[in-house]
Amino acid sequence: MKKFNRCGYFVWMGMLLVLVSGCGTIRKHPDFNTRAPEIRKVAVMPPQIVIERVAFKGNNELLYDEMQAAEKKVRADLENEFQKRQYAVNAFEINESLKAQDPEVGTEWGKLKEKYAHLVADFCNQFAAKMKYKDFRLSLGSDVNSFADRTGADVLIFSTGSGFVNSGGENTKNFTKSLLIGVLSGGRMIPIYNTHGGTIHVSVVDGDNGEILWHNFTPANKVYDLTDGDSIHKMIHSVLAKYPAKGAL
Amino acid sequence: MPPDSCSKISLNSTAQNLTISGTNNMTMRFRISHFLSLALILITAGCATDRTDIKPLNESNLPMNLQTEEDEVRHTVVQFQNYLEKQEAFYRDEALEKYLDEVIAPFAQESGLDQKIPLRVKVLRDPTVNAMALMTGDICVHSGLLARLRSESELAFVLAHEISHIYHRDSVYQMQNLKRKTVTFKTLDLLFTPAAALFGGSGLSEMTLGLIYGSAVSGYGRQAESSADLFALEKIVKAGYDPRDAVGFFDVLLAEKKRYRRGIEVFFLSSHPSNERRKTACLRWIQENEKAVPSSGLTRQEKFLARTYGVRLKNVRFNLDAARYFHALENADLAIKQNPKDAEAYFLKAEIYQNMPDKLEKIKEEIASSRWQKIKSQEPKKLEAKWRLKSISFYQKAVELAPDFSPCYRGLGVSYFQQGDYGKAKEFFEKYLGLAPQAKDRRSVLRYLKDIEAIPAKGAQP
Repeated sequence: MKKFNRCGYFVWMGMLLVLVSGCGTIRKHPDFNTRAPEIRKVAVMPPQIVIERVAFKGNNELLYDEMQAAEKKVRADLENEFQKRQYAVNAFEINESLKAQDPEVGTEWGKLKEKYAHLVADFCNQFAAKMKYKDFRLSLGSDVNSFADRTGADVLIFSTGSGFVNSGGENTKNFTKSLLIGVLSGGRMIPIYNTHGGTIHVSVVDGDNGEILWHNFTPANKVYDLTDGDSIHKMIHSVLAKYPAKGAL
Repeated sequence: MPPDSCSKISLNSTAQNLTISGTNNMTMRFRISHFLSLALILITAGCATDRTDIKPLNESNLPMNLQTEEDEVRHTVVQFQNYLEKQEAFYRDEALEKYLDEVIAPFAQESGLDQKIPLRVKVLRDPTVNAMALMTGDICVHSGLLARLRSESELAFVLAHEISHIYHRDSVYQMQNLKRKTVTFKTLDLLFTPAAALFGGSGLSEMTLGLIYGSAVSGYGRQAESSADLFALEKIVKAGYDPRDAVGFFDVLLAEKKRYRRGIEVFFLSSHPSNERRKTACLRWIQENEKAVPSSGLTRQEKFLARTYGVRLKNVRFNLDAARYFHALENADLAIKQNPKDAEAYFLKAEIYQNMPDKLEKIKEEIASSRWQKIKSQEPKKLEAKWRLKSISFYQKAVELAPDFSPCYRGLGVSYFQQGDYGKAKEFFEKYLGLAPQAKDRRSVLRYLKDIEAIPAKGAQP
């Protein structure tokens, strides 16, 4: 009986490995390899990060200051990663002087950001995630053109992230719960609850037609903290680790 | 279903599982029943919402605990509004905002709220049907709501309903209630989940409690929604609107539920009483107050439709961007019905059909399964061809109405490109660039032209 169980264990592990091997987080447009060598200039668009503080009483709140700081850090790290790969990097910023020059720019950017958020939501809902390299086709459409023109970039870098940080009360509750479960199950089961967590999606978008050429995100099995600069640095580094340097393709 | 009964059913099923998977030992059963009794007591205490002592906004002297809660809610709301501003989430149209403020003015005056806080209506760029009242006096209506309403009386009903939430400080009571329920459920979780671990059912316990919690904390609560409906009816009748027409708004929501698979529409102003029940309660109120209700009240349908035409048209685009194609078609059809000579409405309808063939997965997610089955039963290639033809015919209709409306030529170019008719595609793309040489999307058109140029070269390759 024991032998059978062990054998079953190996079979299950083998199946799991086969499944996991097909679940890489990177998605590429079918034309990525032909488009990538043409990419010279990239523009890092303002990231959108949401961080929530989970409170024991349920009055969760958005951490606006931390969100702003994380957005700055994500942007700086993205710029840095692309510079390291020899691309010319332009930053795009919506500020009052730009709005004064072009009153529609704010609304245009707001719409585009929402569209990107929808695409990422689709991705997380498995609709796009199950697409493999061969058929990965998602597009933001021609709305990206004006931003690509403004920045003179070949591709635009879009990013979005979300995370949470538990309050002290919530952490105490989780710790107590783990302890009680551990004691009552006789040590067979000790769940570990994360005190924080976060994920980031990064997309390289074609400035001509808005198609997502390359997309990657931080995997769910790693715990990151969006309120911590070092953690953000690791996230961006790991997401772009396999992105080719200029001229590498 | 009211939260209490929902909780009991789920907990009873949890109890059964515990007993079955646990033991036949009487002592253990006794312990479980003790646990359940405690849980039920806690849930009942947590879910109880005392609304008998509500202090409306035009009354001061709030109890100290509620004052603190109100300050906290106000602070959160101000931060949230700033965030929305920064995110460019609002739809800007001064004329529309002025009109909405005009509709709301009599209610603000009548309830005395205009002396307390400035009430304003803002439009959020969101294609779903929803509205929210903020403690600062801002009522945020989604563009999707304005696009779906049919008369000013319906709008008045929704706005007065939202004013009721501000007037009765519902968000403050909601926050107090949320905290109470959350603490209750988390305490239960702390007791039940480790106990269930004894029988290997901690995951089940966590999941069940999570579901109960989720259903118990959404919305303002049954009483608040019902009283907001009646408050709204009273106010709109006083302002001379026809309440029978206004209540027809519920039909819009109910029809939505039949036609679509999911969406906030089904959830709108939701919480616990269903839209059917709320409609019945409103009709009962109208019947009971027959003397006060004018036999032919105001509906101002034409005025409303004219003032909201622009946002209705924009909402087609918002739906399209969110891949809600059938919602977008409904908005476009309504706009065409209202203004059959508007080229832009036909253009948008053409854009919807152009996008649909590539997004069948999204359509499946959007519409009710019966509608999806009808689509699915058709041969995919025929369906695609049908939609592409429709797209071209609507672009052509738009060109007929406004020959200089340049985006149609771009659309026709894309349609012919998709069909593989590159000669025609090139012709239309060039026409577009001729009419709009500085178009913001010229880069994508140049890309199409470049791709077309490359096609014969590709064909020449061995």
